[in-house]
Amino acid sequence: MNKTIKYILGIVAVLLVVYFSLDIENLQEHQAKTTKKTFDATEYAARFWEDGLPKSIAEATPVTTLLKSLEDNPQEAFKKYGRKLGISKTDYFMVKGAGTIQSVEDDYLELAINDNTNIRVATDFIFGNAVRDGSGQVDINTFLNMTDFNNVSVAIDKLVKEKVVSRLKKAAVPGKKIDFTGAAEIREDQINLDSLRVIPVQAIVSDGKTE
Amino acid sequence: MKYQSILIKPLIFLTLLLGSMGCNTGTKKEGPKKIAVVISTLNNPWFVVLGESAAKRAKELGYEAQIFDSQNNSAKEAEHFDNIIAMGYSAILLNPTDADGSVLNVKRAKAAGIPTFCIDREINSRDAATTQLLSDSFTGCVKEGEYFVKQMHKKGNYVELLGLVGDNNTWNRSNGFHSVVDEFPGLKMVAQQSADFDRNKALDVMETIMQAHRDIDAVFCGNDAMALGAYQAVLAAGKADKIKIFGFDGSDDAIRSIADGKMAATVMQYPVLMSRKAAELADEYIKGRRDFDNRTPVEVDLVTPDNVSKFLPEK
Repeated sequence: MNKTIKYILGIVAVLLVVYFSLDIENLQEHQAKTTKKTFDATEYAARFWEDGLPKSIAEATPVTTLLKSLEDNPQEAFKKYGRKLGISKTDYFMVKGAGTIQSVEDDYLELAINDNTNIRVATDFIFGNAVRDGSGQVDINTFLNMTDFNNVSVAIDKLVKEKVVSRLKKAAVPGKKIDFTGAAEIREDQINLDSLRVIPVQAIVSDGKTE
Repeated sequence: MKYQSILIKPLIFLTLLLGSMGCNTGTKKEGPKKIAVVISTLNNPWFVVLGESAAKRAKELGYEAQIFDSQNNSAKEAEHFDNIIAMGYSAILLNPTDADGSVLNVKRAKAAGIPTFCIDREINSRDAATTQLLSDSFTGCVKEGEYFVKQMHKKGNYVELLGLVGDNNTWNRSNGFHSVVDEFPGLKMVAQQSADFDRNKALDVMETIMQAHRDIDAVFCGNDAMALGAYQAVLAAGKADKIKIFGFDGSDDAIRSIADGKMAATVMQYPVLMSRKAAELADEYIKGRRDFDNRTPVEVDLVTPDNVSKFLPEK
């Protein structure tokens, strides 16, 4: 009798060990769980727009300060206000300012920011990394590869066109005033202060009374 | 007998002492440290320049440098890594064979305490390599795409010749170009095919495409070798004046072709700069530096007829 109980207890113990060692689940569900999650640049850019970009806008350099600094001491201006990625002669700057629309061109608005200085606010050819790298909010070290990192630029540029440029183009008329924040790209060996091009990430058009 | 034993004991002690000193001096012996340069293939002049420049800079910095040819074969690359780890190299400058396939090799080297610095080609990993020095192909092709759109006046039919489909560079270039060109509905891609970065394949592929599409205005190629192959096909068809050719790399032949009006544009990469910098970063690592970004993009330049004189090779 004792022997039989021992055998039964032994079998129960083995069954318990086997039961708790196994984890049974549907094969398709398992595959879905273990498949590498692909990077979603659109989602990343949307988060950047909501969380990261406002910090950059708050810290943007007044465009008149940047232009003056570039005129006085370009090296110092690049060091103090610019952001550079890797080995490059190109720096990106986050700038803010206000001006009056002088003319509406195919690709940009010509804006007078004071009596002597004009800049260009881009309304077409919104491409590249100016906003991504100028913002200083996107860290290359967190990306698996350059493709993902570059797709973030594409997605951010798309948001600029959707959220800022489309409305700006409709409202832009010569004589109106614009308060803007945006990203500019300047090469250390090709500084041209007469046609600084800014990709806007925020723009408020007004006639002096209404926005 | 007693006299003998008095002598034998100190002799044994001295022998052991000298032997152990000999062993110590053996392990502490320091010749120049060694840097391995592992190149995807030496069957292509571009990669020869890459490998030789890296090795030359490593030697200038006081290291022994040896170049290993992976012959575009991940298994061969793995063998090289086995040998490099066994032979106690201090650093590896790697031009990988495969973005995914090479990751394991780099991880093995890292586990053995050997840092790897990737050059020109990328591996899909955040932390296996110490850093990866990569031409900023995407940004280069964004600029080339913008130039393409302006040259085409925002309309026309074009062909794209892709490089090796397993290479991240192929897609970074293509994606950069399309991130611009696809925004202009007047520009229509009538064919997109791979020619494996190869001039002869590009010639064949372009000939076939031109038979099916007679109204092509431009060809965008993922490298200059393919651009020159495409130009040969276009020339043979008598359409050299009509079809604009765009390349990537900044090879001497392509630069001369732009100066001669045969090609519309290319993007200049800097393989010598990348390789030399990789050797310098390896040197800094060996001397104690540890704060590296996982990727170091290297800027490239758009070359067009307007600025080609700055890039013409010395005769």
